[in-house]
Amino acid sequence: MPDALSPAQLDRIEDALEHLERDGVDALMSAGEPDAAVEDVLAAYHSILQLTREALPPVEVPAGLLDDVLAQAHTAATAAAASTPEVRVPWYRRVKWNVWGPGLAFAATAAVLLVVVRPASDDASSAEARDAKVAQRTPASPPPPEDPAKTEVGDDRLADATRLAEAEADADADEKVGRGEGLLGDLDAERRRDDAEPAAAEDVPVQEAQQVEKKLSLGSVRKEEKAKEEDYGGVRGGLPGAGGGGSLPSTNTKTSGASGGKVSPSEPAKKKGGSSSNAGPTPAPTTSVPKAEPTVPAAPPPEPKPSPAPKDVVDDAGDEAWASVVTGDTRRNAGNCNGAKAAYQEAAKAAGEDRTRARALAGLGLCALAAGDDKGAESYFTKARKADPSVGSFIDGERAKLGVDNAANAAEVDE
Amino acid sequence: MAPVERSDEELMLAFRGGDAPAFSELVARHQRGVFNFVLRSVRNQGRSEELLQEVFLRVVRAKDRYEKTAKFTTWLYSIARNLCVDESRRARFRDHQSLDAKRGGKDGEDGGSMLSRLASDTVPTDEAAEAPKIRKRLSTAVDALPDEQREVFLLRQVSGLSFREIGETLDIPENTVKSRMRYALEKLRSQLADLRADAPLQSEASVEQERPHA
Repeated sequence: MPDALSPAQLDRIEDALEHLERDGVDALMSAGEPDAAVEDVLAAYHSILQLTREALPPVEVPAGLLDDVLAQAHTAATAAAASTPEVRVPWYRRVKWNVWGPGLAFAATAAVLLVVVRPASDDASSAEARDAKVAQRTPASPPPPEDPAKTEVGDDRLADATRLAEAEADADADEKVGRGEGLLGDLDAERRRDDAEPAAAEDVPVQEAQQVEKKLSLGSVRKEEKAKEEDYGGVRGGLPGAGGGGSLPSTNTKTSGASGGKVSPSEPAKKKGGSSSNAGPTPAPTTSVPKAEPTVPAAPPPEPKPSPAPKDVVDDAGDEAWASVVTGDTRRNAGNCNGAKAAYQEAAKAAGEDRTRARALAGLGLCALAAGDDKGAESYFTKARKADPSVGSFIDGERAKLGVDNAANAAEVDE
Repeated sequence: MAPVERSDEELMLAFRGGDAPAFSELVARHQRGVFNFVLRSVRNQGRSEELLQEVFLRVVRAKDRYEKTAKFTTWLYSIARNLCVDESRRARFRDHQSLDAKRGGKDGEDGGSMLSRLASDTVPTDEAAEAPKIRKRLSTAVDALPDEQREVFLLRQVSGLSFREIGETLDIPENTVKSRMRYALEKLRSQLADLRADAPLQSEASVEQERPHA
């Protein structure tokens, strides 16, 4: 053969050798180009392989020949098994997922509830704390710093009052009081005024200041304080300016300058912020009065800040009525709707002035709204808007806050 | 559903880990192939049985060194082949021939073994004597193959290994295995040409033609 076989043919023969016996020559040759020489060689090899397989039949292994070997293997395997350290399955693999999976899911859910929901009601464990929180969330009036227009008005009034004091003009006390409400609503403004015009303040007659104080040391404010003391279990101090200044911080400050200057700061009635804020704008001789200093320990309970009174409500009847409105606001914000209703009704009866009456009616409406009496509330709101259309913004704001509170309470109830 | 059959490697690892039945299964799978390879290599039944035991004993002893990266078949036949090579070397230096060893006849003919000269209790007929004759010639032709061709031929025809496994067992390239297989077939073809009516007689020179491999 094979002189005539090329290397390519030899390669083809060698590649066909492995499956020659299984597939046969024809199958192997059909895969490529027909080559008679290669086919002849492969046919000869195929015959040889078949003859060889017939001539060399497989010989069976004598039975039991390897028994000793298997015995030794068994011994070795046993020794290996004994020497192999026991594989300790960790506890978390022994505990099946289907057993502790649900427990883990429950714990995770509880953790999520604690983290997400609980902080919202952390402080709501006690009724008092919840009431205080509600009062914080729904202040009767926004704090003055948030109302730049109002601050500007206060500053203007400060300037007016200063001019009045300097001139010792014949302006009547009511006007001064009216202007002074706005002034004293802001302690900083008072300080600025004191710093800026000390000499002018000294010129204000004590008699006039006392007269102003008489008018503004309102019995209604005392009533309000009393009511607050009742509401807060006798915790005193920190009452904001009930007369409508509304921006005094909760720390009581000696504002004797505002109440007449020469009045001793130790006088209880004049120490209270509410009275002082109502004490009027009389430019006090601050040189004879020490600067404001706290007389009550800090951190009083959070209290709602009542809305500022209309600046034209300065007469006695108006003061009385407005004080009742403020009292009603305070009680309402503290959650005492019954007390607030009484105060609002008193104010509505006493008020001859439309704005105060409108506020009282609005307060009644808010109380009704809080009690779930929507129709009654709408009736009150309608009356209030009739009395003074400008009260609408107040109503809307309070209703929005009330809505927030209701949502928060609903969440607490759900929890 | 039939259980999934574990591979040789998995069985060996299981045996290494203390699973004795795994080794039994390995023995059942490979004892026949190894035994026939050893038997055709050393051409001695008794010695082949001893070598077969030795092969599996070595497997048992070396189980801790076995790595799964090595194919078990390759490893097993490497052990068997090494034992056969050692046995062949020892046989060459023996100063006596076994009873079933071939002996020379007159004029260079095969004289048969000493056992074949012993009296037989069966009288062979012509037909019955033909098959053993053919087997004898074939066996003789295989035995006459060079060692490197014979072991390739036996591993392929007797043990059923693939060319790749043979190459791994003998540590030679697969192409070399193919070439050796072709040389072996060509030599057998030339020696057994008269047994095939359709096969042309080939000259010994053409059989010996070697082709270089890369």
